[in-house]
Formats: sequence, structure tokens, C-alpha cells
Amino acid sequence: VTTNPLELDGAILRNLLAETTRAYEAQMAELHAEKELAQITLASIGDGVLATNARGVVKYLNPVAEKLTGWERAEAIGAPLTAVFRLAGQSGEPEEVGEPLRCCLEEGKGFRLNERITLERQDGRRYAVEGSCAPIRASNGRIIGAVLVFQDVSDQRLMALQLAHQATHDELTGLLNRQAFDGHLQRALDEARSLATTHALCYLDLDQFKVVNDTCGHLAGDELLCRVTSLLQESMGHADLVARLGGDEFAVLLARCTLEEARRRVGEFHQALRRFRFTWRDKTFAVGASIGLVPITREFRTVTHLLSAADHACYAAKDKGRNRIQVYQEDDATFVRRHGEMSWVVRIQRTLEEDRFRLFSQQIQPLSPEARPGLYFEVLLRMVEEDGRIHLPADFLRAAERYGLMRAIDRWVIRETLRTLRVQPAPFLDRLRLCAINLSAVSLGDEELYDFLDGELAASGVPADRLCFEITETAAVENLVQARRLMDRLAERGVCFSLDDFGTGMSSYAYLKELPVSFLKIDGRFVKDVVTDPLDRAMVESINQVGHVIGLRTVAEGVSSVAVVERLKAIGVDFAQGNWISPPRPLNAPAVESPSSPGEGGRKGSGEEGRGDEGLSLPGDIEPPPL
Amino acid sequence: MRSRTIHLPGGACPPSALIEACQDAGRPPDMALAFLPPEDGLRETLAAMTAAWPDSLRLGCEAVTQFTGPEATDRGSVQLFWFDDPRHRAGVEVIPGTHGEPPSARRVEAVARRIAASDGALLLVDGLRFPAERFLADLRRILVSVPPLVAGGLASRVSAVGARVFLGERVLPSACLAVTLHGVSMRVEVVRGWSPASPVYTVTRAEGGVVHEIEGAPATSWYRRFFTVHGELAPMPETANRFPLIIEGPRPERQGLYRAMRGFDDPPGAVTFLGDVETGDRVRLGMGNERSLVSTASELAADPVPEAAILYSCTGRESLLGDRSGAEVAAIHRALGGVPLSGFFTCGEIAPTPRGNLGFYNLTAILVLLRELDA
Repeated sequence: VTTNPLELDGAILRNLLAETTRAYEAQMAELHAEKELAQITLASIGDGVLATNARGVVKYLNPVAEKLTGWERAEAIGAPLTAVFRLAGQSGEPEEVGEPLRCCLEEGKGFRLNERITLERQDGRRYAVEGSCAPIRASNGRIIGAVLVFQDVSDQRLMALQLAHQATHDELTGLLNRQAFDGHLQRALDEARSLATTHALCYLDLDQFKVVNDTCGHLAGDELLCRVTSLLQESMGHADLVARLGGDEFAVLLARCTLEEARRRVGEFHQALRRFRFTWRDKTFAVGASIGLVPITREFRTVTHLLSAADHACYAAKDKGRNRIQVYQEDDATFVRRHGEMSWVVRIQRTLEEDRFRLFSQQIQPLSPEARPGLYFEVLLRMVEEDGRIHLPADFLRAAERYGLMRAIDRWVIRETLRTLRVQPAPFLDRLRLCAINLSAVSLGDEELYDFLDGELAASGVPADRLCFEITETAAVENLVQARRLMDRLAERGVCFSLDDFGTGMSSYAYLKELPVSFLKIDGRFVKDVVTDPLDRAMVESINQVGHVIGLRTVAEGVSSVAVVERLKAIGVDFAQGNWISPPRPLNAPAVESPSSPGEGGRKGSGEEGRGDEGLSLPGDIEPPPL
Repeated sequence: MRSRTIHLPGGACPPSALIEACQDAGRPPDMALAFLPPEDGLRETLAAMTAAWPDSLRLGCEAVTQFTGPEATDRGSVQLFWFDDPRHRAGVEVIPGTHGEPPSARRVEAVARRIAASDGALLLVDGLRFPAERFLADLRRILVSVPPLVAGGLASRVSAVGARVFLGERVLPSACLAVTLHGVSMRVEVVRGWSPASPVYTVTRAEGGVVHEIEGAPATSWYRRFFTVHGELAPMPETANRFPLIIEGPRPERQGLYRAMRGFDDPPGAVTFLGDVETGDRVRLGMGNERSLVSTASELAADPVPEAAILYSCTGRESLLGDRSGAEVAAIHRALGGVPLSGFFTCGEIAPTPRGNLGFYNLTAILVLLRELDA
């Protein structure tokens, strides 16, 4: 080693320099590798990446950014970011990225791209993009550029739009759905309140939809709904909003129009609908609609209130014979009655909860000597209020039907009837030939009723062939396919059916062949004056004859005197029922004595018109009255 | 504050010479700070100081090379201080010789309390026999919440047994004097003058002043990489001290501490330094020369202008300055506008670090600037 300190230090400094150089080169190699890795990473990721210098000039873009912007790297580098990354707003208007970029570069504030923004490629194609921009800082904190990361979200945005559309539109018709329509109604209501602008709400219910659905199937029903949708859209103005609220119910918000104008437009639609014929294969149907029309005014407090009024008006249109337009008027008697019905709902529900319904029975007397001796009677329903007042079905059944309580009532009647029969002494069941229970249209369409009845029959031990369900023609037709299915299954168990109130509804003899019924009940309106009125007599004879021809037994309702009985015998009617024969009594006390009151007595279990009051007797022995 | 430095003539100094030196002050000094050569005349000089200024605070330490004004000398230096305000004063705490053992905790606490109550403190330490680093660590723990400015130097080796400190005529081996200043503003400048000369490496095993491994290899191997010339290792540790070890962190309070080498390959593979090196310290080698040290010294700014200055400069710097050992103090004296200045070449320096107090330096010049506070 040299002893000269200068030489020695010089040699050591050379060593240090060599080592520093080696370390520097290693560091540079590492940096280069890191840069390569970063560039490969940036080139590999699925996001577009654009980097600028501190003046907003593009210094880097990865392949995804090249594809999305349509700019090749060579031409993009050196160009202003605002030229390469051109944005447009929701309506296609240019959206400037320059100002937020300036803030980013000068103030270090990162930003996110606006929602629903689109990137316009160099060739004019557009992509929905999302992204953000952040400043790039040197190690000393100085801003040396900005990096913009963005993604093509066209698919997601399209899917979101589709989902949003699905959430607000009816899948079948493409119309607004209930939820979305409510929102529009709310805005219309707000506008009516704040600006005193008048809009109108039309609520319509197709009259023949169930018939088409049941006779031709769901495909036909769907097609009918689509055709009606087209008619509605053609009839209404561009500003009007048409919605399908569910099933065969539609609504139209007629924007900014007086009630007269609304009535005219809805009238035009109604006329078009009346002219319209729906054809499915070999069948052609005339389609009607019951339409409620409500002016949207500041008097309505809520959307619910408004829809309720429209529903009332639609109901009133149905009540007045269907296929008509009814304008809502708050003080109209029909609407007042509807309000009254609604008050029944709570009372019915409470009666069910507190088990205050009561069952009565009214005997059915065989008139023909061929009839098997034994007990025949119909179960009748009464509602007992908390204060002891008793209501006939006529008071509450309409409300129960309207507000979906019939299913519960029917089931209560069936369960309670079977429970009562089960606890009767053995001779009772031996002599029981027929226990008729009224069944509503809703229950006829209830797919779970069979299992329910099966369970109740098993629990009670009552033979199924002693039960007879009384159905109305209208109820059966309302859900023809399902009703037929249920009736067939129950018939296999031995349960029989009677067609109630025959002569008052459609009275289509065709249905008599379609439905598996055993009894035909002739409405009391024809029976009452059968002795004195030749027309009534002819009606009774006609129905009785047709019934016998197709193998049914006939029952005359509303028998009020011995003369009527004699006339019915002469005509050949098989059974008679009425207060003269036996007034209604509590079910566990069927009548034992002779008819004592000429007045009308019973109300049918769950679906018939009332005929006056009746006496309530104490339980007693079970014997038919002597005739 | 007024201050004056006295060139001693060498050998025993007559009291009259001392009295004459401060005649124009009109009164004996409040404090006489002496850095004296370890010669036979030491006690005579102390006796002369007693005779000249019997009521003054007289203290100091042995040193081989002392500073008097712009000059480096080996004949001794005395700096006199007069406080303008009679309420201002200097005090002293003595930590007697412990012969290598650290002072008791109670003693350290008492000294710490006095230092904490002062406006600043100077430490004069026997560089070889007083466990300075341990003492500083204990003081640091106590003074952590009230850190007054503390600076000082370890007296350089003057004999086989170390350098002594003295208070009045008492000469104390293996001891430490803590001079507390009251009513005095104290500012400390750390003068370096070294430049980074290597990349930064990590100490992977160290204990106290012994570094076993750097970057996972024996510390000696790391040194050999730089200090092998024509296949032979340069003389160590003297050559290494021209390229001091600079601690770059990562702990901020350790940033800027330099370390001078004391031993190489003893224990085998390890390198021993005058100050501590911690495992995890990031270190590099520095380089400097006489020009860089003097140049750095000349760049000092005297604002506000001090009334007195004391310089503790490392003996490693003295080696580098070689024949021009006075160049650094001259440059400093000039930069400070001729302020009365004394001091000596030390064997370890004490001064605040960028993030703490009581850092232990090597190869550094610590300049203490004093100015009496307004009354």
C-alpha cells in the first residue's frame, strides 16, 4: 500500500466511485425492470389508461385506451388530452374534460367522470365509460401530470337500463307497471296542487277477459291484453301515460286535460273497443270494458286516495251493467255505498277473528214420492255483531266478495258445518241425505280447496256424498276451467253440486251440459207467483223440463204457501224450499215442527239474495215437517 | 456579556499575567474556562488562576490542542466571561470519577434537574474513562419533556489514563463537569464538511459501537471492498477516518451522526466505532478534505452576532487538516466577525440532532454561540 495519503485516498475514491457506479447501474436496471413491469401491467389490464404531462398533453396510453379512443399511440402522444378523450353527455352534448383536468393538474384535485357519460371514438362510435383522474406527483410532491383510468361500461349500462325498464314496465304489454305509474300519479297530483293544473285518471277493467282466458287459454288472454294495449295507445295522446296495473286492469293518466276532454278521449277509446272483435282460432269475442274516470284535482290527498276513487268509479261502471264509462263524483249514491262496503271489511274480519259467524239451516222438502226419505237442508250464514245484532248475508257478502274475504268465509262455513254434523247423534247422519253449502266464485277457483275439504272430511267422518255445494252460474263461468276441474275432483269423491238461482243470470242451458251438477235450483222469483202468473209458471215448467231432460233434479226456492207446493207437485218439481216449509233455524236445531210462519225465512249460507227475516229456534229433534 | 481569550505563555503562568489580561474589564471575570495542556505546569496554572480570580468560577479540562481566538495552540487557552446583568450567572455540577462505571441514577437525576432549570448547558467529559454515551442516554430519558440546549466535548486523549477535568484547583480524573448557564442564549451550529461517497447500505448487526455485519456480510468485508488498494488493505483505522461512516437514518434523530473508527477486525470481522451504531441504521461512507472542512466553516453565518463562542472540533478533523490544523478555527473566527472564541480538539462531540437533544457525534465540529439575554 502506498504511504502517500493523497495516492491512497485517490485509490479509495476510485473504489468508492466504482462501487457507486455499480450500485447506480443496478438501481437503473431495477428501475428499468420496474418500468417494463409497469408498462406490461398497464398494457395487460382491462382498463384504459391515459397519462399526461403537467400541461395536459398525452404522454402514454395503453392498448385498451387506444381501442376505446380510436387513437393510435403514435398520433395520440403529444396531443392534448381533450382531443384524444372526447366525452359526450347523456343527450349527446359535448362534455368538456378540460376544466376538471386543469383543476387536477393545478390544484391536485382528482375527479371522477360524470355518470352516464359516453366516450366518443375518433370514428364517431360511442362507448359508455366510467373512470377517474388523479394527479401524478413526483417524490417532492410536485404535480408532474395526470393519469386517467377508464372502463367501457356499455354492457353494464345497457343491462342497468334494461333492469330499470323491467322494474318499471309490464313484461307482457311493455306498458308502465303499477309502481312506476304511481310515481307519475304522484307528480300529477303534486302539479295539480301547486299549479292548479287539471289531469285525469282513467281506470279500466276488461269485461270479457276471464271468458277469453278460460275458454281459449292464457295465450289468448295475453294476446287480448296486447291488442287492447295497442287500442289504448292509438286512442290516447302522446303525453298520456298508459299502464297495466295487473290482470285485466289498465290505467291512463291523461295529462293536462279537462274532464270533458278526458271524457271525449276515453269515449273514443271505448267506441273503438266496442267495435273491436277479438278472434282466436274459431272463436270471436266482443270485448267490453268498465271504465272509471276521475279528474285529478287538489282535493285528492294521496295517490292511494286517487286510485281508490278511480277504482270506485270503475266498480260503479260494472255495477251499472258493465261496458260503460263512469265519472267519479264523491257524493254519488254508488260511491257512498262503496264507502259503506269498505266499512264492512273490518267488521267481517273481526267477526272471523272472534268467531262470531253463526250457521243456520233451512230444510229442503222432497215433493216427489221417488225421493229417498231423509233429511235435506241448506246451510245458511249469519253475522252476529259485538252488540248482538244479526246481519243477513245480503248486508255483507258484496263487501266480502269485493275485498277478498270470501275464501275465508267459505272455509269457515265448511269447517263449522262439518264440525256440527260430526257431533250430532248417530241417527242424524243415517237420515241425512243432503247438506247443501253455498260456495263462492273465489272458492271455485281456489286450487287448494280440494285438499282443505279432503282434510276436513277426514277429520269429521261425514261421508262426502252427503255434501252438496251450491254454486251460481255466474261463479262457475267466472273461472270455468278451474271450477270445472275442482267440481270433477269433488264429484269423484261423491260430493254433488247444485246450480243455484237458475233463471236469473245468463241461464245458458249450454253450461248445464258443461258442468257436473245434480240439482237445478229454480229462483224464487219465478216460484213465488207460479200459481197466479202464467209466465212464471211457464218459466218453472221450462226449467224443470230441461233439467229433467238432462238428468237433473229440480228444487224450487222461495215456497210460500201450500198452493205453491201443490202447483210445483203438479209441474213435477222434485224438491221445495222456503219459509212456509221450514224457516231457518240454528244448524244444530233443524226444524221439527210444521211450517208455522208464512213469512220468508232464510238467507243462504254465503251467496244468495235475502228474503226477509226469520225466527231463531232452539235446538230440537231432527225431522222433516209433515206435508 | 463580555468575553476575552488569553494566550497562555506555556509552562507555569504567573498570576500577574492573568490579572493584567483582564485589567481593562475593571473586575474579575464571573467565569474562567480553561483548556490546558497536560503538562507539569497544570497545577501551577490553576493556582495562578486562583490567585488572580479567587472568587470567579474556574473550570476546564485538559486538551492537547486548544483554540484561542483564530489560532490553534498547544500552550493552553483561557476564556473569561463577564455577565452584564448581576442576576445572570454560570453554575457547575460535578459528576466525580467513576472509573468507567456510569454515575448513579440519583446523581444523573440531580444533574438533569439543574440542566432542566438552566437556559443551556455545556458538558466537559473525560473522553476515555467516563462512560459518556451511557450518561447521555440516561440524561436524554430524563430530559425528554424539557430539553434545554446541551452541547459539549469529550476531552481528547492526553495520557494513557485519559483527560482530566478541573474545578478550581481540584483536578478530577474520569469525571464530567456540567456547566449550567442562566440568562444566556445558547445556539449550537453543527459543522460537517463531508460529502457522501458511497451508496447507502444497511447495518444488519451491531451492538453499541461494534458493527458486526453490513448488508449481511462481515463489516470488515464491506470496508475491505473500498479500502483495499493494489490488493492490500490500507492502514486502519486511520485511513477509514478520512472516510467517516455517516448515519442516514432511518430514525430521524440519528440522521447526520458521523462515526469515527476505533478498531478494525477486533473482534474478528467487526469494526468498532467511537459512538454507537444500531442494527437497522442506514449508512454510507463520506469523504472530505482540508478544503471542504475549512470551506464549510467559513460559510457560517453570525446572526445574531454572538458575544462569545466555544468550539469543540473532532481530532479526526485535526488529522485531516494536517499542517493547517488552525485553518478551521481561523475560518470560523473570521466568519463570526472575530468573536472571542476558545475550545479544543475533542474525542467525541455532544450536540442536538435534527430531531432530538444530546446526540453523540464524531468527526464533527460543534460550535456553541453565546449571547447574554436582555436584562
